[in-house]
Amino acid sequence: MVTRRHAHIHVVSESHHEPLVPNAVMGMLIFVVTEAMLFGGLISAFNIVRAGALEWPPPGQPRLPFETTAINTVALLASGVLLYIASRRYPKDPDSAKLPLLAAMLLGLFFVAFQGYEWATMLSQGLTLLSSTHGSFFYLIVGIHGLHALAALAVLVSAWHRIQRGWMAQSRLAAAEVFWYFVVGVWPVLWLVVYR
Amino acid sequence: MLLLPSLADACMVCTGGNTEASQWAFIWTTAFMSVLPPLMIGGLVWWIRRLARQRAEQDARAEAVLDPTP
Repeated sequence: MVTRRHAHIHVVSESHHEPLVPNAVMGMLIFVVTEAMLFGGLISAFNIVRAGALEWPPPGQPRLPFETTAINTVALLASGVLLYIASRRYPKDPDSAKLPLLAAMLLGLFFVAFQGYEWATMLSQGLTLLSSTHGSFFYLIVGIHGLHALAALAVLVSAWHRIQRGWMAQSRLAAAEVFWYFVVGVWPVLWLVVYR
Repeated sequence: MLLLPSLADACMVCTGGNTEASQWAFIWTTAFMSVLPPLMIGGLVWWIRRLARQRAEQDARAEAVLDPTP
Protein backbone atom coordinates (compact mmCIF):
# COMPACT_ATOMS: atom_id res chain seq x y z
CA MET A 1 0.00 0.00 0.00
CA VAL A 2 1.19 3.49 -0.80
CA THR A 3 0.39 6.41 1.50
CA ARG A 4 0.92 10.15 1.25
CA ARG A 5 1.78 12.11 4.33
CA HIS A 6 0.63 15.72 4.83
CA ALA A 7 1.73 18.09 2.09
CA HIS A 8 4.96 16.27 1.31
CA ILE A 9 5.18 14.09 -1.69
CA HIS A 10 6.72 11.35 0.41
CA VAL A 11 5.47 8.11 -0.95
CA VAL A 12 6.36 5.26 1.34
CA SER A 13 5.36 1.66 1.04
CA GLU A 14 4.19 -0.21 4.11
CA SER A 15 6.85 -2.85 3.59
CA HIS A 16 9.65 -0.37 2.75
CA HIS A 17 10.67 2.54 4.92
CA GLU A 18 13.10 4.13 2.51
CA PRO A 19 11.72 6.73 0.07
CA LEU A 20 11.08 5.77 -3.53
CA VAL A 21 13.65 8.29 -4.66
CA PRO A 22 16.66 8.67 -2.36
CA ASN A 23 16.90 12.12 -0.79
CA ALA A 24 20.28 12.80 -2.41
CA VAL A 25 18.89 12.03 -5.86
CA MET A 26 15.73 14.08 -5.32
CA GLY A 27 17.75 17.04 -4.11
CA MET A 28 20.04 16.81 -7.10
CA LEU A 29 17.09 16.53 -9.49
CA ILE A 30 15.51 19.68 -8.04
CA PHE A 31 18.84 21.47 -8.42
CA VAL A 32 19.16 20.26 -12.02
CA VAL A 33 15.64 21.51 -12.85
CA THR A 34 16.52 25.01 -11.60
CA GLU A 35 19.83 25.01 -13.48
CA ALA A 36 18.04 23.88 -16.63
CA MET A 37 15.88 27.00 -16.35
CA LEU A 38 19.03 29.09 -15.98
CA PHE A 39 20.50 27.68 -19.18
CA GLY A 40 17.13 27.96 -20.90
CA GLY A 41 17.01 31.66 -20.06
CA LEU A 42 20.56 32.26 -21.26
CA ILE A 43 20.00 30.41 -24.54
CA SER A 44 16.75 32.32 -25.08
CA ALA A 45 18.42 35.68 -24.48
CA PHE A 46 21.26 34.71 -26.83
CA ASN A 47 18.85 33.69 -29.58
CA ILE A 48 16.89 36.92 -29.29
CA VAL A 49 20.01 39.08 -29.47
CA ARG A 50 21.38 37.08 -32.40
CA ALA A 51 18.08 37.28 -34.28
CA GLY A 52 18.08 41.06 -33.90
CA ALA A 53 21.65 41.49 -35.14
CA LEU A 54 22.28 42.59 -38.73
CA GLU A 55 25.39 40.42 -38.91
CA TRP A 56 26.50 37.49 -36.74
CA PRO A 57 29.21 37.19 -35.55
CA PRO A 58 29.43 40.98 -35.30
CA PRO A 59 31.99 42.66 -37.59
CA GLY A 60 35.57 42.20 -36.45
CA GLN A 61 34.77 39.27 -34.20
CA PRO A 62 36.14 35.78 -34.85
CA ARG A 63 33.95 32.84 -35.70
CA LEU A 64 33.72 30.25 -32.93
CA PRO A 65 35.58 26.93 -33.48
CA PHE A 66 32.52 24.77 -34.12
CA GLU A 67 34.46 21.91 -35.74
CA THR A 68 37.28 21.58 -33.21
CA THR A 69 34.80 21.81 -30.34
CA ALA A 70 33.24 18.66 -31.76
CA ILE A 71 36.25 16.81 -30.27
CA ASN A 72 35.41 18.22 -26.87
CA THR A 73 31.76 17.32 -27.32
CA VAL A 74 32.62 13.71 -28.17
CA ALA A 75 34.91 13.52 -25.12
CA LEU A 76 32.18 14.76 -22.82
CA LEU A 77 29.58 12.39 -24.28
CA ALA A 78 32.03 9.51 -23.88
CA SER A 79 32.51 10.45 -20.24
CA GLY A 80 28.73 10.20 -19.76
CA VAL A 81 28.71 6.72 -21.27
CA LEU A 82 31.63 5.62 -19.07
CA LEU A 83 29.90 6.92 -15.97
CA TYR A 84 26.79 4.94 -16.93
CA ILE A 85 28.93 1.81 -17.29
CA ALA A 86 30.48 2.47 -13.87
CA SER A 87 27.05 2.90 -12.28
CA ARG A 88 25.80 -0.38 -13.78
CA ARG A 89 28.86 -2.25 -12.51
CA TYR A 90 28.96 -0.74 -9.04
CA PRO A 91 26.10 -2.67 -7.35
CA LYS A 92 27.46 -6.05 -8.53
CA ASP A 93 31.18 -5.43 -8.16
CA PRO A 94 32.33 -2.03 -6.82
CA ASP A 95 35.94 -2.62 -7.84
CA SER A 96 34.99 -3.05 -11.49
CA ALA A 97 33.39 0.42 -11.45
CA LYS A 98 36.62 2.21 -10.57
CA LEU A 99 38.23 2.16 -14.01
CA PRO A 100 35.26 3.53 -16.01
CA LEU A 101 34.65 6.13 -13.31
CA LEU A 102 38.28 7.22 -13.46
CA ALA A 103 38.13 7.37 -17.26
CA ALA A 104 34.94 9.47 -17.05
CA MET A 105 36.65 11.89 -14.68
CA LEU A 106 39.72 12.17 -16.91
CA LEU A 107 37.60 12.88 -19.97
CA GLY A 108 35.72 15.51 -17.97
CA LEU A 109 39.01 17.08 -17.01
CA PHE A 110 40.12 17.02 -20.65
CA PHE A 111 36.89 18.79 -21.58
CA VAL A 112 37.45 21.60 -19.07
CA ALA A 113 41.12 21.95 -20.04
CA PHE A 114 40.32 22.05 -23.75
CA GLN A 115 37.69 24.71 -23.10
CA GLY A 116 40.34 26.75 -21.33
CA TYR A 117 42.65 26.38 -24.33
CA GLU A 118 39.84 27.50 -26.65
CA TRP A 119 39.17 30.51 -24.48
CA ALA A 120 42.82 31.51 -24.64
CA THR A 121 42.69 31.21 -28.44
CA MET A 122 39.52 33.29 -28.64
CA LEU A 123 40.96 35.97 -26.37
CA SER A 124 44.06 36.20 -28.55
CA GLN A 125 41.80 36.67 -31.59
CA GLY A 126 40.01 39.62 -29.99
CA LEU A 127 36.88 37.98 -28.62
CA THR A 128 36.56 39.22 -25.06
CA LEU A 129 33.76 39.63 -22.53
CA LEU A 130 33.43 43.30 -23.47
CA SER A 131 34.29 43.21 -27.18
CA SER A 132 30.70 42.52 -28.31
CA THR A 133 27.44 40.85 -27.30
CA HIS A 134 28.82 37.78 -29.12
CA GLY A 135 31.78 37.69 -26.72
CA SER A 136 29.65 38.46 -23.68
CA PHE A 137 27.24 35.64 -24.38
CA PHE A 138 29.97 33.18 -25.34
CA TYR A 139 31.97 33.63 -22.14
CA LEU A 140 28.86 33.86 -19.96
CA ILE A 141 27.11 30.75 -21.27
CA VAL A 142 30.18 28.58 -21.78
CA GLY A 143 31.68 29.88 -18.54
CA ILE A 144 28.62 28.98 -16.49
CA HIS A 145 28.63 25.54 -18.07
CA GLY A 146 32.32 25.23 -17.25
CA LEU A 147 31.64 26.09 -13.62
CA HIS A 148 28.97 23.41 -13.51
CA ALA A 149 31.38 20.95 -15.10
CA LEU A 150 34.00 21.73 -12.47
CA ALA A 151 31.50 21.32 -9.64
CA ALA A 152 30.24 18.03 -11.10
CA LEU A 153 33.85 16.87 -11.49
CA ALA A 154 34.42 17.63 -7.82
CA VAL A 155 31.38 15.50 -6.97
CA LEU A 156 32.78 12.66 -9.13
CA VAL A 157 36.17 12.94 -7.44
CA SER A 158 34.42 12.70 -4.07
CA ALA A 159 32.56 9.61 -5.33
CA TRP A 160 35.83 8.09 -6.54
CA HIS A 161 37.42 8.74 -3.15
CA ARG A 162 34.50 7.10 -1.37
CA ILE A 163 34.59 4.05 -3.62
CA GLN A 164 38.30 3.70 -2.92
CA ARG A 165 37.56 3.69 0.80
CA GLY A 166 34.55 1.41 0.45
CA TRP A 167 32.16 4.06 1.84
CA MET A 168 30.09 4.74 -1.26
CA ALA A 169 26.30 4.56 -0.90
CA GLN A 170 24.43 3.75 -4.11
CA SER A 171 22.22 6.82 -3.66
CA ARG A 172 25.21 9.17 -3.51
CA LEU A 173 26.62 7.68 -6.71
CA ALA A 174 23.21 8.12 -8.31
CA ALA A 175 23.13 11.79 -7.25
CA ALA A 176 26.61 12.33 -8.71
CA GLU A 177 25.41 10.68 -11.92
CA VAL A 178 22.41 13.00 -12.18
CA PHE A 179 24.65 16.05 -11.96
CA TRP A 180 27.16 14.72 -14.52
CA TYR A 181 24.46 13.62 -16.96
CA PHE A 182 23.02 17.14 -16.76
CA VAL A 183 26.40 18.69 -17.56
CA VAL A 184 26.89 16.22 -20.42
CA GLY A 185 23.32 16.64 -21.72
CA VAL A 186 23.32 20.44 -21.74
CA TRP A 187 26.63 20.78 -23.59
CA PRO A 188 25.56 19.54 -27.08
CA VAL A 189 22.66 22.02 -26.95
CA LEU A 190 25.02 24.87 -26.09
CA TRP A 191 27.50 23.74 -28.75
CA LEU A 192 24.86 23.62 -31.47
CA VAL A 193 23.19 26.90 -30.46
CA VAL A 194 26.12 29.11 -29.45
CA TYR A 195 28.98 27.84 -31.64
CA ARG A 196 27.03 27.48 -34.88
CA MET B 1 18.15 50.93 -13.20
CA LEU B 2 17.91 54.06 -11.06
CA LEU B 3 21.69 54.16 -10.69
CA LEU B 4 22.54 53.14 -14.28
CA PRO B 5 19.57 53.98 -16.52
CA SER B 6 21.66 53.57 -19.69
CA LEU B 7 21.58 49.80 -19.09
CA ALA B 8 17.98 49.92 -20.32
CA ASP B 9 19.42 50.39 -23.82
CA ALA B 10 20.32 46.67 -23.69
CA CYS B 11 16.64 45.72 -23.45
CA MET B 12 15.72 43.88 -26.63
CA VAL B 13 12.00 44.44 -26.02
CA CYS B 14 12.48 48.22 -25.98
CA THR B 15 15.20 48.64 -28.60
CA GLY B 16 14.94 45.53 -30.76
CA GLY B 17 12.27 43.18 -32.03
CA ASN B 18 11.44 45.27 -35.08
CA THR B 19 12.45 42.64 -37.61
CA GLU B 20 10.55 39.50 -38.44
CA ALA B 21 13.50 37.37 -37.25
CA SER B 22 13.47 39.11 -33.86
CA GLN B 23 9.74 38.68 -33.48
CA TRP B 24 9.93 34.98 -34.26
CA ALA B 25 12.85 34.65 -31.83
CA PHE B 26 10.71 36.18 -29.09
CA ILE B 27 7.81 33.85 -29.90
CA TRP B 28 9.90 30.67 -30.01
CA THR B 29 11.91 31.44 -26.89
CA THR B 30 8.76 32.37 -24.95
CA ALA B 31 7.19 29.08 -26.00
CA PHE B 32 10.39 27.23 -25.05
CA MET B 33 10.62 28.80 -21.60
CA SER B 34 6.90 28.22 -20.99
CA VAL B 35 7.03 24.56 -21.92
CA LEU B 36 10.27 23.70 -20.12
CA PRO B 37 9.06 23.78 -16.45
CA PRO B 38 5.91 21.66 -16.91
CA LEU B 39 7.89 19.28 -19.09
CA MET B 40 10.58 18.76 -16.45
CA ILE B 41 8.29 18.69 -13.43
CA GLY B 42 5.73 16.58 -15.26
CA GLY B 43 8.47 14.15 -16.23
CA LEU B 44 9.64 13.96 -12.63
CA VAL B 45 6.09 13.29 -11.38
CA TRP B 46 5.54 10.64 -14.06
CA TRP B 47 8.78 8.90 -13.08
CA ILE B 48 7.94 8.92 -9.34
CA ARG B 49 4.48 7.54 -10.03
CA ARG B 50 6.03 4.79 -12.16
CA LEU B 51 8.40 3.87 -9.30
CA ALA B 52 5.46 3.83 -6.89
CA ARG B 53 3.53 1.49 -9.18
CA GLN B 54 6.54 -0.82 -9.55
CA ARG B 55 7.03 -0.95 -5.82
CA ALA B 56 3.33 -1.64 -5.25
CA GLU B 57 3.56 -4.54 -7.71
CA GLN B 58 6.67 -5.86 -5.96
CA ASP B 59 4.91 -5.67 -2.61
CA ALA B 60 1.88 -7.47 -3.98
CA ARG B 61 4.12 -10.24 -5.37
CA ALA B 62 5.97 -10.52 -2.05
CA GLU B 63 2.71 -10.77 -0.15
CA ALA B 64 1.46 -13.46 -2.52
CA VAL B 65 4.64 -15.50 -1.90
CA LEU B 66 4.30 -15.15 1.88
CA ASP B 67 0.59 -15.87 1.94
CA PRO B 68 -0.31 -17.99 -1.08
CA THR B 69 -3.81 -18.83 0.18
CA PRO B 70 -6.45 -17.15 -2.02
